[in-house]
Amino acid sequence: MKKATEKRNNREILGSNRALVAGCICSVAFILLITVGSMILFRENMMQSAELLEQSEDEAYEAYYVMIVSDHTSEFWQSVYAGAREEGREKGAWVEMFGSNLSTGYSQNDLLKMAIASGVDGIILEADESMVTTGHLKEAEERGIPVVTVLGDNSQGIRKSFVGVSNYNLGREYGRQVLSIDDKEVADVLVLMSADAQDTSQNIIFSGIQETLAEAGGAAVQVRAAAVENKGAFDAEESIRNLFMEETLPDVMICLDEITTSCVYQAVVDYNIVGQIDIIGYYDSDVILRAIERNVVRSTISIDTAEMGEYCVAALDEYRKNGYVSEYFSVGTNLITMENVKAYLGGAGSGQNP
Amino acid sequence: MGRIHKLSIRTKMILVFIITTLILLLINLFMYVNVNHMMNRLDEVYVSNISLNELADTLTKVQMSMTDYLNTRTSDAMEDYYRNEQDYAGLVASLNDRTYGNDLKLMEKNIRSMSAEYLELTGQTISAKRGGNVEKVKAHYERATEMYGYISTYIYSLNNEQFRVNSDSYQALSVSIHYLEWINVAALILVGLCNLVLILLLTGTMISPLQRLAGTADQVARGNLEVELLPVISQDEVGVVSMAFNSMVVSIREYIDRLRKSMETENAMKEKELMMESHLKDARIKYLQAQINPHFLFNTLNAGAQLAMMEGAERTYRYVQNVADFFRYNVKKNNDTVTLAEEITLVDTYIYILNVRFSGDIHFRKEVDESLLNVQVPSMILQPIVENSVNYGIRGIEWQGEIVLSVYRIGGTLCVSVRDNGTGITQEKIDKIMSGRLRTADLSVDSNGIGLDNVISRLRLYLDEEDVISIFSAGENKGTEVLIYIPLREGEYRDV
Repeated sequence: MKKATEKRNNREILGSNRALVAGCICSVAFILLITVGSMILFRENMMQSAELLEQSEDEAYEAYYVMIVSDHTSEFWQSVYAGAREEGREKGAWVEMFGSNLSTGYSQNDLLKMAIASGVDGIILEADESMVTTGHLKEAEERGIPVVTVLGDNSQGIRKSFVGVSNYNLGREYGRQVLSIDDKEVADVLVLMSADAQDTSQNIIFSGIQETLAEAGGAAVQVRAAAVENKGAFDAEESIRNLFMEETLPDVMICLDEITTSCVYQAVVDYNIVGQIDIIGYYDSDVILRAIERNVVRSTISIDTAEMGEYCVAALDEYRKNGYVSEYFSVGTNLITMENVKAYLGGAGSGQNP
Repeated sequence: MGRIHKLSIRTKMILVFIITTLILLLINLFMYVNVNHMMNRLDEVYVSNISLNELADTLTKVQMSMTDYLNTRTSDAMEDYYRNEQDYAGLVASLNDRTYGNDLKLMEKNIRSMSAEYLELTGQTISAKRGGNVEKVKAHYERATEMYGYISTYIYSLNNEQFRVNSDSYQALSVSIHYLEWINVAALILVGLCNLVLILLLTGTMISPLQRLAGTADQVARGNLEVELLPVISQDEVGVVSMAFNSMVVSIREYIDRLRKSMETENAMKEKELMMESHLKDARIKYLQAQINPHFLFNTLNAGAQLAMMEGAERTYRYVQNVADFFRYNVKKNNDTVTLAEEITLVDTYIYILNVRFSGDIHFRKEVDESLLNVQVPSMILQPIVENSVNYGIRGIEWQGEIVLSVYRIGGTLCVSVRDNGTGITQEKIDKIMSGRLRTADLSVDSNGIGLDNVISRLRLYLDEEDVISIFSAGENKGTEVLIYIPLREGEYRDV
């Protein structure tokens, strides 16, 4: 009897000891779990912040090209830049939209000076025919910095290559668009041109339009040009509005750049004269494509912007490697009208063919 | 586990304390390290901004000292310029000069390149000034100032960009710190709870034996000595106390057992003694009551005997002498035991007296084994039995009454038989006598007062046995035999 109770007691005590050991192990394990768990969580969190903090693990590039354009915010140039960047990545070059991350908005010439002083490996420049630009191009040449002009050229300056559209062909295309208008009598065509007198490319476009219309025998069609200020900020919009204040409005308005197209479209809507003026635009930004869809803009000519960017970088790369490069790269154009606008709306602004 | 049991309470407590403290300490250390790390990180966040500010300041100093020199042409200003230029060049040298796919790095690279050009321009300006070439000074100064503007903007822009990135880092870090705070608090609370559990478990092993001990001690205090012995597992102080308590309980139990046994035997002995004494006193009182004053009586009888002898009355002398002997025996033999011979002599005397009284009516015969005469027996046992035989057996019978006293031995037992051929006795009466229910009151007036029950009681007490006497009777008028059995001690008899 006594032995039995003793045994039971011993069993109880052994049981309680086992519980004690189990309890101890459990709590210690729990503490370890908490520590390790929080450590892991915390480390993960730290890693995230560390990633933000340290960006030194960036890929090194062989070359550093900068792109200097009149308006780096415009969708057109952004699209060109995207193409250039993509091509640069393939060719081992980093392309920067120069001045886009500066707090002050510098003029193209200032940016050009800065780029030259920075000793970049190549410059993609939307040039004009000004003497200042020519001077800078000379300086760049002296420093061994190759310059490729894009869309706008400086024929006087020493640039390695020009990437653009054939302005004459562009002019003829505009002319054909004017001729295709058959729902009304076209007597007055207004071409909105940049006020920059030295920009000869526009003159070529203009003569292309004139020629096409003349060939068609439309002597009655008056083609005139209107200067749109685009040197200062917001100038374009102001001068376009001024055009609409005039009493005689043209039958057709031809816009030669993206900003002008957007401004004219907005002005037509604002002045409630949709349908009175046929607008032939430039570039395929979202806004312009929608305008075509709504039948406010008749058609637009878009340049294959990505291709344009690609060609620029390819030209610089070629020059850097071989010491010479072809003087001229022609970029294809697309005509966008009511009929095919839907295909562009999907990938609006990309500049890619559907 | 066994090792834990051997630890003392103090060691256990210290262990508990150390374990819990260590755990807390480690957790705290871990948290401290983490927080510290975080703080360092936070400090680092804006380092790049600070260095950029320094760069911008130094650039301004270069520009100002150059302008100052151009204005004043003092050697102090020039010294300032060269010092600042040195500083600036030093600062610029730490900037990135490689092409990375990172706008900030590229901005650094641009700043570095432009700064080199700027410093060259300022150098040229200073030399032109020293050379007194005013035209060149103007041209260089303008270009330098233009470049200064570009660089300033660049640094400013980079600073802004950097600040934006740094702010993102700061945001992430501050979120982390908040997170860390929560982790810390949660971890501390959980660890605290765990420690509490640990302490409860560990102190439980110390406390529970004490509680068990207290419970058992309480039971013992309430008089329950039949408690279960405490199980002793740990060798600590409580274990020692428990063991001591166990042995105490065991020895108390043993002691009480011993005490009870000895008290029982003592009580039994006392009881026996008291009963013996009371019976003897009873006999004596009765005897004295009956004899009034035996001394006086037997002195008187002695005087009568001497008188009879002087007068020549031989038979009277013998008679009186016997009566005197009979009473003297009672007076003298007040000791507890006498020899069997003395008892038989008393019976002889008694019979002689009776025969004188009743003119020789009683025929008394002895068949005595002489070897047993020295056996010690309680006094006054035979005479009352013989008296009984005379009074109830043969008195008043028509035929010749006879009493036979036999003393013999069966094995180790002495047998004393008193047999008569009188009226006999009924079994009912025998039973009454044997069970002690026949009181003295039933006795006849003629008795000397010591009844058969007294004899039986004394014999039983003396021999410490129940079976000391038996009474037989064959039936009415067929006589009675009273048999006394006295176990013989060694030396009191000789085997024949």
